[in-house]
Amino acid sequence: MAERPASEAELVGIFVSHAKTYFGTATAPARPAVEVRSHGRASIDACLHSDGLLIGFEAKLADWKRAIAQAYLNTYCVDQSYVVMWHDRMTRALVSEAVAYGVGVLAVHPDRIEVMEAAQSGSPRPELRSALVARIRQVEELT
Amino acid sequence: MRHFLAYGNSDQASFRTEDVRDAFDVMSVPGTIAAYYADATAAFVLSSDLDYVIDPRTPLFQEALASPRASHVSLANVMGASVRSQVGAGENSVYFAPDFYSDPVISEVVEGLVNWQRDYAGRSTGIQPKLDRYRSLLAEALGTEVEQTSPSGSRPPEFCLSPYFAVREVGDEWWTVNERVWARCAEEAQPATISPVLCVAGPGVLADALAAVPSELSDATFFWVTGFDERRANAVTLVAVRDAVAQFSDGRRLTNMYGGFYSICLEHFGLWGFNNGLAYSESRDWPALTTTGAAPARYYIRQLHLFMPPVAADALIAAEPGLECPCPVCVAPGARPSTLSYPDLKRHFALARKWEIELAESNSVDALAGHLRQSKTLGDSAASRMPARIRPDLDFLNRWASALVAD
Repeated sequence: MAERPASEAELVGIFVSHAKTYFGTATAPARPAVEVRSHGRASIDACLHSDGLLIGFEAKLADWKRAIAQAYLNTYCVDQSYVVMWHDRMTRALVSEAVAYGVGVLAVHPDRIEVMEAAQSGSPRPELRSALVARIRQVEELT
Repeated sequence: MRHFLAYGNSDQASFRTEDVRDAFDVMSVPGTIAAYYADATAAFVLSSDLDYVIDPRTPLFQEALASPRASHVSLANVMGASVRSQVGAGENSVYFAPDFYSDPVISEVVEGLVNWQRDYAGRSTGIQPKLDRYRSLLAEALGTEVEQTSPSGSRPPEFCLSPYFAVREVGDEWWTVNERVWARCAEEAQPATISPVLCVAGPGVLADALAAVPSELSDATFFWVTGFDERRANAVTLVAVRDAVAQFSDGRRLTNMYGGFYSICLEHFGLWGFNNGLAYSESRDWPALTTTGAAPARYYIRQLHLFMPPVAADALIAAEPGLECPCPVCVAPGARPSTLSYPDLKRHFALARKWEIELAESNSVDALAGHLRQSKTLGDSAASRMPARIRPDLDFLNRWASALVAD
C-alpha cells in the first residue's frame, strides 16, 4: 500500500493533482488555488470553481475534528466545503460529524480522489465569497 | 467607573468617531508612541479635545531588552543620558539590573519623565501646522466647525504617572528601586500630583504593594497585575484581586491598567478606573511589552463578554439569535460580525463596552452574577451547535459570578 503523505503540504499536492480533472475536464481542467486567505487570518488549503460553484477544501493528516471545524467556518466563504484526508483515515465518526455540519468528505488515494460524502450547498456571506474570489483571481494571474 | 482607552497608531480614525469618543473618559497613550512619533502624537492628542494620560512604560527598561526598537530608543532619550547610553544605538540586546538605577540615574529618569508629561501641552507651540491639520480632520469627522485653540489652551495630561518597575514581591530588589523612585518623586514640585504605578507579579503582591504606597504622592494609583487575564484566572485569583481592591480603595482612586468586564464589575468593590485598548489589551504579560503591535480583527460578543474571530462569532450568533448585538453598527443593513470592517469592529466594541459599564452601574453584584450565569447558559446552548474545536470556553463567566459573590 502506498504510504501516507508525510506532510499536509504533500497531501494537498496529491489532492490538487487529482482535483484538476475530477472537478474539471481533460480539456478544461479545474485550477485549484492553494493557501488562499479566506477570512480573518485564516487560509483555505485549496479552493476552486466548478460548475459555477466555489468549493473549498481543508486538508489534515490526522486531526479530523479540526478539519471539520475549519471546513465549517469556510462555509461562510464558499458554496461547498470539504474535509480532505488520506483514504485510510476515513471513519464513520468523521463522516457523521461532517454531515452534521453540512461539510463534505473527500478521500485521497495515490491515484484518485473519492467523494465519501457530498457537501451541502450553503449560503456564504456574499462579501466574504466575493473577496475570496478576488484573491483566487489574483493568484491565477500570478501563476 | 472611569474608562481609560489605549491609543494605538491604527486607532486615530476611531478616536475621531463620535461613538468611540462617547464611550470612554481618558485616552491612555503609550510612552513609546508618544516618544517615537513625537510631533504627530502630540498633534493628535492635543487637538483631540480628549482627556489623556501618558504611560511611561518603564518596565521596558528592566532586565533584558532584546533588540531595542526605534521607539524604545526614543523613550530612552526621554529618560535621560544614562538610560539612553545603556540602550545605545538600539542594535544589541541590553540588560538593566536593579543596581543600574543608582540615585543619580533615578533622578535623571524621574526628572525626564515627570517633566515630559507635565510639559506635554507646551509641545503645541512647535507643531501648529500639524495641530491645524488634525483639528480639521476631527471637525470633518464630527461634522463640526474647526475649533481654533491657542497653544496655551492645550490641556496637560489628566494624570502624571511615576516611573515604575515590575516587582515579584514586595521587598525584592525592584521594589527597592520603586521606593527610591517614589522618594525622588516626592522631591519634585507638587508631588501630590504624581501618581504611583504598581506593576506586580500576582494579586497577593498587589495587596502588599498597595499597603506600602507612600502617602506623599497622588491618591490616584494605577496598577498592573502582570499576566492577569480575567478570562483565564481561577476563582482564587479573581477573589484576591477583588479583595485587594476592596481593602485599599478607601481614600485611593485605584485604576487597573489592563482590564475588561470583570474589572468593570469591581466598581462595586471600589475600583475607580480601568484601561483597555479598542478590542485588545485587557491583560498584559511582563516582560512581553516589547512584543506589542496591532491587534488582529476580533468581534466582541457583548452578552458573553468575549472576543471571537469574526467568522466564528458569526456562526455562534447564527446558532443563538439571543446573542445578537442591537448596537447601531450591528443592526445596519447587511451587517454581520464576519463582514464588519476593522473600524466598525472597533466602533462596535466601544459601544459594547459602554453598554457593559452601564450594565454594571445599574445592577447589584447579585444581579450581575445572575446575568453572568444566564449568559453562560445561553452561550453554551449556542456553542453546542458548533464543531467542538471552535466552541468557545465560557467557564470564565461562572468563575466571575462566583468571585463577585464569594464571601
